Amino acid sequence: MRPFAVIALATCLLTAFPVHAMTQSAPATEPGGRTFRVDDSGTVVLDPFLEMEWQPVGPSGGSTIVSASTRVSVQLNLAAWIGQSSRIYMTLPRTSGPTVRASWRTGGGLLPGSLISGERALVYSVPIGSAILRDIIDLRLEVDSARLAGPESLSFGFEIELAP
Amino acid sequence: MLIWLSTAVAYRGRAITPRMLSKGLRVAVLLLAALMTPAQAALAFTVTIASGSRAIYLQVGQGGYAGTHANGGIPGNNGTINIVSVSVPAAVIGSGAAQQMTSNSTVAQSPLDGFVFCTPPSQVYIGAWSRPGSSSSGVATLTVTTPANLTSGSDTIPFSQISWTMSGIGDTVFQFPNGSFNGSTQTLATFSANTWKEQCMTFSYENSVLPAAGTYTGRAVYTLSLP
Repeated sequence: MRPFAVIALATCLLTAFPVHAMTQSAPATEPGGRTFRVDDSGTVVLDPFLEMEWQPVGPSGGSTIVSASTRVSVQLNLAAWIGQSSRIYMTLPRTSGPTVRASWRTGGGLLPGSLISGERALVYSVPIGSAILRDIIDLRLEVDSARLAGPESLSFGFEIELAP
Repeated sequence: MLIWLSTAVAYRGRAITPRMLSKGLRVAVLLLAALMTPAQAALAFTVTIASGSRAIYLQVGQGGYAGTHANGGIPGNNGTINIVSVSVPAAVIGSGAAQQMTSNSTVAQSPLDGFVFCTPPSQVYIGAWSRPGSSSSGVATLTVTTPANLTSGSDTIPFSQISWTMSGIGDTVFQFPNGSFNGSTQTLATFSANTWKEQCMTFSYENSVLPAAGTYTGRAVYTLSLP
């Protein structure tokens, strides 16, 4: 193979599949489909450190659940999957810390929903129409206060599952 | 960067690998890839949650919250000592007919969220929370301490003549037990980390002794402690 052709071919491959190549090293597996982590490096958390507060529970007296909320400007890079039928999920891995329930409202670009740590929740289920998907979500976190002894870092992520 | 390129080539075209390229070509492709590769992507956004700084709060009757906790209210001190009292008609003194006591407390709303929870003056609000902070997961304890007797000069009535029941408007979860003072220190509740408990106390005078006429007083001291 001529050197020029090799370079040209390599260039084409890199151009056509940059995100696939970048994310395939740690894919989430999903039977029947291909699942990839989504580049959400443009996402910004308005207040990334939250002090949990008791929930108003009215007549029932006290509560063991504490909660806090923050706003997240979500930006997902979907350039590699434009036009493809896919589902995008928000994920929150289970950790050794307390189980966390996350629920959110959105600005309409993503679907509202909730999840328990260790689960994933559908946030997008229409064909990818643009390279960048943006939305503002109001994220509420709840945890059993008795299990929250120290600070816990929650790493949310997004994964895309392509139709088989 | 080298790992990125190698993976990319192997992924789509198994016939072409970096090993097939001459050293010079590999350098050229690497340079080309470097120009095309986006910045290292962060594949998660992170939120850190914590229980907050170490603090406890106890309110019996009048309290020190400015606003409600749910709306950002801040707990503070209030030195008010509320009074619970009853005047027993002479005709029934010592009859055993319990006499409901009333207070000078005006607290009806929960400082947690403003819910109208208690019915003063017949009820006295009691609420507390404990937040051990990140350095401790200690359990807080709520106690009440009374002397052996209510006194009127040298005359006495056993403090155990006074009992209480816990309730609240719409209450479904009972946080504290009903009971009677026993003239010493009694534990009313424990608080695991980051918990809030509240209820309304209705006091009653048992009226099963026949004391000398007079005004009998005594003080019950509620204490919340966190190790």
